[in-house]
Amino acid sequence: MSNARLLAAIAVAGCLALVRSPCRAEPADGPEFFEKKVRPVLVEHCFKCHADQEVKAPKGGLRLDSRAGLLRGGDNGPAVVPGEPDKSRLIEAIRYQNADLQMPPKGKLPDATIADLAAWVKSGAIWPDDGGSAATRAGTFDVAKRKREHWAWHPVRKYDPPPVKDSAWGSGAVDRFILAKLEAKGIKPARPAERRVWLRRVTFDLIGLPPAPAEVEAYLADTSPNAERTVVDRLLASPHFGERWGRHWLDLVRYAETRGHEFDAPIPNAFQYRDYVIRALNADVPYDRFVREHVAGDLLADPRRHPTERFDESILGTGFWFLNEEVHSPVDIRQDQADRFDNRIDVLTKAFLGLTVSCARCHDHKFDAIGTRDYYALFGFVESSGYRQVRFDSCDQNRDIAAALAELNRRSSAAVAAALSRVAKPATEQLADYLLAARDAIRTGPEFGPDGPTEGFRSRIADIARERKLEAGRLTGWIENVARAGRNPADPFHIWAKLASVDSKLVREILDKATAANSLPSGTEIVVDFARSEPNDWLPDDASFGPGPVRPGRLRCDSDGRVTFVDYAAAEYDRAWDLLTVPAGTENDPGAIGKRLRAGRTIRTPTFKVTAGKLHYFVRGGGMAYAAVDAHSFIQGPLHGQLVKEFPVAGGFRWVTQDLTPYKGHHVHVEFTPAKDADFAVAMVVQSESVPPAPSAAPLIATDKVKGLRDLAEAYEREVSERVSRLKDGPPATAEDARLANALLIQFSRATELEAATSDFMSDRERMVARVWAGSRLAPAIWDANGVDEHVFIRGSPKGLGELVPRRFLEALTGTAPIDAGRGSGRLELARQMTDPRKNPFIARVMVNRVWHHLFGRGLVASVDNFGVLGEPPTHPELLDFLADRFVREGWSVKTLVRDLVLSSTYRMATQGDTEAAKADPQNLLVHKSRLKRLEGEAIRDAMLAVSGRLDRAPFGAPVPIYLTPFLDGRGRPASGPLDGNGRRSVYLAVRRNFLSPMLLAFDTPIPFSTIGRRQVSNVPAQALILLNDPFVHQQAATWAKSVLAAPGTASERVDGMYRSAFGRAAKADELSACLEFLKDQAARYGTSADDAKPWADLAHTLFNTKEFIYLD
Amino acid sequence: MHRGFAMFGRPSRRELLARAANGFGAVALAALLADDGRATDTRVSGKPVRHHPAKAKSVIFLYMDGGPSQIDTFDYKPLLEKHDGKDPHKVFKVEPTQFNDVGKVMASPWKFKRHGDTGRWVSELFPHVAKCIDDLAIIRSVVSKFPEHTSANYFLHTGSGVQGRPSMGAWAGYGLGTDSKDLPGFIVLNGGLIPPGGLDNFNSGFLPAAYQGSVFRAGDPPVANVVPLETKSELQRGKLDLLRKLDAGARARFGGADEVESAIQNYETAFRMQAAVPELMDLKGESETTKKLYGLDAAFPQTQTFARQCLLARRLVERGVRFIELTCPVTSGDRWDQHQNLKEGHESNARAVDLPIAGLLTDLKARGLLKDTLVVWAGEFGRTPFAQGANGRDHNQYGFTVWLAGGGARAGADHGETDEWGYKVVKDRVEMHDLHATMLHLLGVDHKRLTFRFGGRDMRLTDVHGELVQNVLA
Repeated sequence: MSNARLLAAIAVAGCLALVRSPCRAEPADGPEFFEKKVRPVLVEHCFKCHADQEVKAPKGGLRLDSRAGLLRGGDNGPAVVPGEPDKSRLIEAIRYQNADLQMPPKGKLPDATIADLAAWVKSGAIWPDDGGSAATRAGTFDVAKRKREHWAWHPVRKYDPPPVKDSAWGSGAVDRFILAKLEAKGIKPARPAERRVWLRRVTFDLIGLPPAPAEVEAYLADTSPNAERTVVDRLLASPHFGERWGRHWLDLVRYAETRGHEFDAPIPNAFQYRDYVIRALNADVPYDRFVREHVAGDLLADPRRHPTERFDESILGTGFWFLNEEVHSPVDIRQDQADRFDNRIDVLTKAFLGLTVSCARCHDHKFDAIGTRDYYALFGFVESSGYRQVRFDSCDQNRDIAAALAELNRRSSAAVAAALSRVAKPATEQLADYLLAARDAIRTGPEFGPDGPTEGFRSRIADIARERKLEAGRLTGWIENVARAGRNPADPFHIWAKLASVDSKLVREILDKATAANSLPSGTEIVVDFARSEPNDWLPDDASFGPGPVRPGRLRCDSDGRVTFVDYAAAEYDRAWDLLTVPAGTENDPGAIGKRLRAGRTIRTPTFKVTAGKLHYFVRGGGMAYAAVDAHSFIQGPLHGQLVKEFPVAGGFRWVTQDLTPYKGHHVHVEFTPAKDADFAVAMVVQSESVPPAPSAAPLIATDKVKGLRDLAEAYEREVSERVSRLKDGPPATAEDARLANALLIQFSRATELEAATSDFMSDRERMVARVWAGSRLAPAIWDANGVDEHVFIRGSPKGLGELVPRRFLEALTGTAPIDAGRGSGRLELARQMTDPRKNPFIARVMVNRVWHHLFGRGLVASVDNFGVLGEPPTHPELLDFLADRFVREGWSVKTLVRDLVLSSTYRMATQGDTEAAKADPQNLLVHKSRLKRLEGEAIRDAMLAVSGRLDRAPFGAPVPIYLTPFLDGRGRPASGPLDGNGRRSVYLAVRRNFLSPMLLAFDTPIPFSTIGRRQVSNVPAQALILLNDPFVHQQAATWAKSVLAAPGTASERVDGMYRSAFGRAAKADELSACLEFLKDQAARYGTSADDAKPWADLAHTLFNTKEFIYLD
Repeated sequence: MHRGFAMFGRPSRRELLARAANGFGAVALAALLADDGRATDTRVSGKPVRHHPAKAKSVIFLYMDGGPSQIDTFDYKPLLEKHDGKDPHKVFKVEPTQFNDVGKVMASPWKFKRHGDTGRWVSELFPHVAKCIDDLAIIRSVVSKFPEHTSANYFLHTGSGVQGRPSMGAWAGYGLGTDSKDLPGFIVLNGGLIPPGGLDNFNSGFLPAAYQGSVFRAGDPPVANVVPLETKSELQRGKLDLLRKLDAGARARFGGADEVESAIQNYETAFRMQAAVPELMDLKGESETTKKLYGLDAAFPQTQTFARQCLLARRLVERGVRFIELTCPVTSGDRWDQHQNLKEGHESNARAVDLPIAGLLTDLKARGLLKDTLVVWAGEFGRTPFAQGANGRDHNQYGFTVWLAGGGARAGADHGETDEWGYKVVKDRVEMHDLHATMLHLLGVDHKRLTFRFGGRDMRLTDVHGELVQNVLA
């Protein structure tokens, strides 16, 4: 033991003695100490939450009322390690050292008490007469039992429609299921609604707009048995169908165009997802396919094409994952990830499965067959699925061009190599003599002008050539080559160049130095090395890095137009893609990462754990590295600026270092983007504390065996000659061959044959590059990455990790076998399992129930987003299964389902049943009549626009900004939009989380935070105030009045026409006279005539305010 | 249409008309309904939830947006002076902060003095509130889970750090309805600053829209859509007369459905509110002494703004409004968020609110209203005892001060302690959930029993947490 250590040991012993001295009278390992100093503290401060109790389980699964309980510990592991207070969680907690683990929670114990407990643990945590057990009340979670005991997990059964007495009533299977239950209770179904009522109902239900007067007339005039079918087919074929049902769908995926939180930053181009949903519903994409596109649309082997524009539709479905709220500058970035991902899991499982899997974030689900492991098995999929803006117009075409460019490169590199071989071969004869001569020429002082050697130097060269019987021209070429090599350490002739200028005596020393080892220092962890990369390492966001890493021997077109062979294997950005742009109006990512155009020009590493604190990138050219810690994709605010690393354009490969010390232990992936109009390649990503030396290629010649200059020159002759010969059979295969070839390419650049080969390549390339689709639109989409599994977070906190759970679907449906991921996240397999109706009864049941809910006003399962134990049981379980089964068998067609339901007699019933029925079925659970519906905010606004004539029926596109009143204020306030939203349908109005439309909110359009399958239907005076006093309503009334007055007709005819527009019916006589009288009175109040626009606007305004306008019977 | 919370509580038409005689109020008015019906999505109950006798009828929540510094206001730490200028890492363990720009330990730039019979320390930032010190129950041990404004604001208001949960005012309305016949149960008097996180801090989340906060601006009109656009009142009256006739037809057509009936009634309420709101906002009837007491004549314009809000708060209490929240006016600095220039920023923020708050407490007490009115003063977090940069303070969620007054809060109570630097709680930690539980308790509601089923769970304001802070109960 050294002196210093000995002293230290004595000092520590002294301190311990001091600490223990107060207890000397009562040794901390004795029973008395425990009874006096320990047990009372535990009883008073801990037992309330951490002891065996009748009513509730101990918190955190931890019991402190027995030694066994302390040792077994809770969710965070053992509470006490006997003899080791500093390793005991109990002591850590009471010392308040860890801000996240402080006990007792209400305040720190006195220091003396803490010291007592620590001393007790130190002395072995003796617990006299301990008869307690460590058992907790946990462990009642049994997936199989819960699955067995709750209907929703059971497979969908096939039911035949039941027999009914009144076989004339129903027109199909649905009606028989409904009628059978009514008949069993002796309830009579309501009479059919009037034809006009049915038409108005079905028109709003299917397209969210009122029927036009002409449509009403056409239907009423159609007395054929197919009249309803004709109407329904027309509505299903209307482009407005997707807008109406798309809005229902957007409620499920908390659709918004901004991230909310402090500055309400945009989710760029989110509206592309909205348009995708509308198109998909209009195209009646089979629902299982629709689900697969949401879960894994980026991975489908057969992506769906837009019928005319041919872009990839499927990939747009994955945008829904990224519609969540997002924090701009989280202090605890890992916790923030946990919260963000929780929302994604919540929405995924509620929207598609009607299950509340998020309840299992902290503990096994309290009621349903969903374990914590299920939650974290899904978490892994989210973690393996990154965010990008995808160039969805062009991704296929550009991928093809990139492949063609790679193929051209492969062919051309062989052609250029062969030409080089033929041109250079003669020059390799007698190379040793030439190199020795070149050395001598250079040693005497080379002189170069802009066009090569100066006059004087030329004549010296000529003298040397003559003297040694060499060709002067060839010698000049080698001299130039060696001189160039002197400036470039990577050049194969570099050693020769260095030797050229030194005295013979120093030659040996230089040769020895050249053989020094040059590998990465120990402790360096290689994240990616593109020289030996795995398929999982190749993660470009689009085509601009080609189909794979470039290998030595590929041709590269540098920014100066020169063609060379690639030496380092690397992910190399192809300058062909410099012309990528985006169309006007495309949104870029907010904050620091949005400063560059990244979409289509970015490549990322797999996700890995930061261990060393510093990342080093071996790069060429210039660009930006974004280190996405914990999948954070948003750098705006005081923290995390260091995650963006810009490096300026520079020549050859070098190491660039990014310091991630504060993020040690976090997961990260790095995204690389080239600087504007610059070369960029990354060959390697490593992490280590110090900057690694630049890797060098194996030297052309193993210098350690070389005996002297002549020997080296002859070795050059042998190697160069052999390698040049090999070039006729193919491009250089190694870095050193490539560098030799590059040196020779310059030396012989004026040779005609070589020039022809390179210019053929360049012109073919130009032709292909001309086909590049430069200006694609962008949309948020998944960027599939390497598969990452996640640990269970104990009690939901990422600070306490439990077991690692392999990615898989829910145990109750597909067991616990890990997903067969192949390459990447494995979402494709997840999507397949989710949509397999034999394994998953939820997907079809939940969807048919949603459709039922929208058409009938109440789901067969009323809790449409929760089919779990706390949800409501189905009123008609057999009908639900019948519909689900048929839905699957008939190809998952939503339109077929809708058609069948709205053509039923059930749908046709009036909203008023008979009084006996109301008594027997007061809540109408058995569907003895139709439910009165209040129109949604969107439908009310759209109906006003339709009636006033202002409706712009154009579909799709960038959202129209919300009209901002002075009452809408706060950080991130955008520019106000037009009062009438340009007449666009409400589905196209902007959905900015912090600036939602007050009118739509008042009429229950949900705040986008989670899945809302069933909207609230409130009924409050605020709605009356909006309809009475909102400037938009007044404006539309005036617009309507103007168009009414512009058309010919008497006042009566006009009023009648207004009734037909607004309510789909003629005005009754009393209504007509009341309106005419009003016009007269109101005109008098204005002091104007009855055909003035003002009283007519007031009439229009009043009609908007009638209940008939906003209720649907 | 499913039945449920959505529906107006189905009062009879006559009942509504009877109410009409009582005068009016405001706006998103939603909570008008709340005294009639509240429910979960499957049940409708007719009576307000009162689990035990209420001490407070109303709450006035003085929201100090941005996070006032505890150590510069009500949590005096003389030891900071000793450590002033030292490297905080050498004095205590420094936790990560929002700006990660940790400067030196910084003593308070303000002097503290003892005040009142209770002799408690208050800094010179609050000379007027200091005069009311004996009425306050001070909790110096509040913690939050979030160091960023938005999450912390949501947490303070809704008990959850994410968007979309009901605000505490909405929960109060859902549980208790309102005693006002004319005004919404939850009104936010906005001084000019909307807190980060926006209007969602005052929203009803998954509760019916009826319970959302109605935001009254300082300007005129205070709320949207309450002023008729018609140039003459008889023009609107004419429309409403016609509407009544036409809706009679609708009533028949829909078979007298409850929801249609309620929607018709809403028009009468709305019409009356057009008059009630101006009546509320009109301070002509208030004496000059009262106005002066609140600081309506103050030299600093922001003091006048907040004075008006405080006075309106009292008027709202008089009108039976359940939950009134005040947000701060825009002063020269940002909200109470002094990442730099602590001195100037805190001084102007304090100057805006100090006199009006004291005026409010004094006035409520004088009128006998304080005993039924719970006044709560709180920010979303506190500030660090060390500087951010040279002269600011960063966010600190580990220990800060909230005080209560009136409404069953124990005057003179002291609860909890931070460490000797005022950085972290060391005694009697109080979580947001505890604060919420205590506020609901004073309103007569057991926080564990006020639930609403959403997303497969019976949701509460206090989630699965919350314990009463017994020590501050009278």
